[in-house]
Amino acid sequence: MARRMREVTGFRGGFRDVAPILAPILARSLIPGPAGLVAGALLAKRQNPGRTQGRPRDRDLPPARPPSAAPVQAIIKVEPAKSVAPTRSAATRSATTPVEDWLDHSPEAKSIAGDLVRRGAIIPGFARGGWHTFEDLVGGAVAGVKLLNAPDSGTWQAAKDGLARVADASAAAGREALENPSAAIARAEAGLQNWGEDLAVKTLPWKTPVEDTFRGEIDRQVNIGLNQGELLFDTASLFAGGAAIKGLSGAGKAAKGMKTVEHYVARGVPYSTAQYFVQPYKGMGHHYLPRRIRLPESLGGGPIPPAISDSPFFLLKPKGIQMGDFYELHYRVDPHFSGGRVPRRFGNVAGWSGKKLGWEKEDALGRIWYGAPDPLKYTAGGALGTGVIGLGAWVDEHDGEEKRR
Amino acid sequence: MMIRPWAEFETTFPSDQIDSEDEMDILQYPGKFLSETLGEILQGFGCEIVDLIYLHERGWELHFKGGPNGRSVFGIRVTQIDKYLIGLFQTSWFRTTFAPRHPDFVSVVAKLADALAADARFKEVRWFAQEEIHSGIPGALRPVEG
Repeated sequence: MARRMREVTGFRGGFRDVAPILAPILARSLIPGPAGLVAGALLAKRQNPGRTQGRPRDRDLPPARPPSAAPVQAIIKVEPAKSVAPTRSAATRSATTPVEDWLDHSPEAKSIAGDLVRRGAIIPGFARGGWHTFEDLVGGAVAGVKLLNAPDSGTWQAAKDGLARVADASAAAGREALENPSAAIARAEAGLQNWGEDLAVKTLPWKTPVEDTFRGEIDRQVNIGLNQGELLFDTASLFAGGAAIKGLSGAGKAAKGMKTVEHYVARGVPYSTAQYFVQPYKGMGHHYLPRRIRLPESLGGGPIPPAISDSPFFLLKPKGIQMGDFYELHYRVDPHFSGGRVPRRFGNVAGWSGKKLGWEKEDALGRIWYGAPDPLKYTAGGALGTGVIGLGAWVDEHDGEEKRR
Repeated sequence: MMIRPWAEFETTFPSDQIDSEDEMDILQYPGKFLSETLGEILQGFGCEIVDLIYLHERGWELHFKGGPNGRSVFGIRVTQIDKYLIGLFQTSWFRTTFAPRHPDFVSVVAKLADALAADARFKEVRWFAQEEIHSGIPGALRPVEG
């Protein structure tokens, strides 16, 4: 039944299918008063064109907020794919209705509606802040997993080196502050001023001019509200370990890309295989939900939809991981994985065997823990957290902008 | 009773590994043809093939139903490292944990061992427990002892 519905409607239940439907509803729900109705109607109108044409995944959805020439937008990088979309003014002015025309020329309407939508956007902005912090956490967790798995002393050393560099920088800053306080204060003030001006433009409505059009003003105010919400989250999270999370992310970045051929050779890996192991991993990853699992017939039967099984919550495939690291992780958590072939160019026709390399298998508990993708681990903490982060992810993708940080 | 559900052997089959043009990548890992052949053998003694899944670097996985009532579901992981390596397992977590030597499983492994031993396409078939794979132990001629 479900499969039949998918065939007829082309609806696959993915984010891109759901977002255009949810956006107007959320706008009406989150934004109080008539502004919510206006924003919802505008979003619905924006999402509808082309919805029935072609497969949902094939069509190019119009961006939730088309690029504009406003200063707030100008400081935020827009992805090239989205920047080629027609600008709002060019696309819509020819079809402006009398009501829209009146709204465009009414400073009062723009002020009232803008104020309302900005306040309404603070909540999803707060959630977006949570998502961005979560992304940092996941990025850092690449190294975190390595550390927790402790595959070898090299990983420990690289991570410790990264942390040591952070500590050294902090110590150097501290020494400078003690030795030459006035210079340190002047430098800090300059940095704070630059950062503060950038932040002010993004979070204070009077720092950027009012848009010409009503829609443009709504977009501008929504942006500002989202940024205000994210700032609120960041500030609050500092008291709840946010700074530590960012530190972990930094350690993760420092720990990435550290494996060399020599590293693997020292661990007993043949040179040709070591050359293969340092390549970036390009495979399918580890599916936490085994691919043999089938949905019950009442749900359409067949395999679990890729939207679920290949989602970051159920697919273990850390970003930037190398072949060797991933194979070792995969070997540990998949009880039926023993080794594999090496591409011919590397000259090892005998393949590699985890057992021969001295790798260990996890027990059942270890497989449950280490085989779980980090997003699943970290969101399994509570339904509330999952809901907030999920909303943040939705806002982030719908927003389609560079992170505020 | 000791059961060794892993087997290593050579075959007369041509390699079905597909490489990229520059041979820097493997586009399709080997084992599809062997998996299909094993499926035919299993069907020969009454098993029903459920599906065959490609697992990229981990090879191929064949799922089938067998046992006296035909309801037990088993899997075979097919990988080529140097020689071919296959591992039979029960897909049921409960059975894997609490009945690793379930009579249905033992029966299927023993029948497959007999079939491979009698088939000239499979050479030097040796059976292993998981911890014995590539450990230097030569392997057993039969998967079930005792």
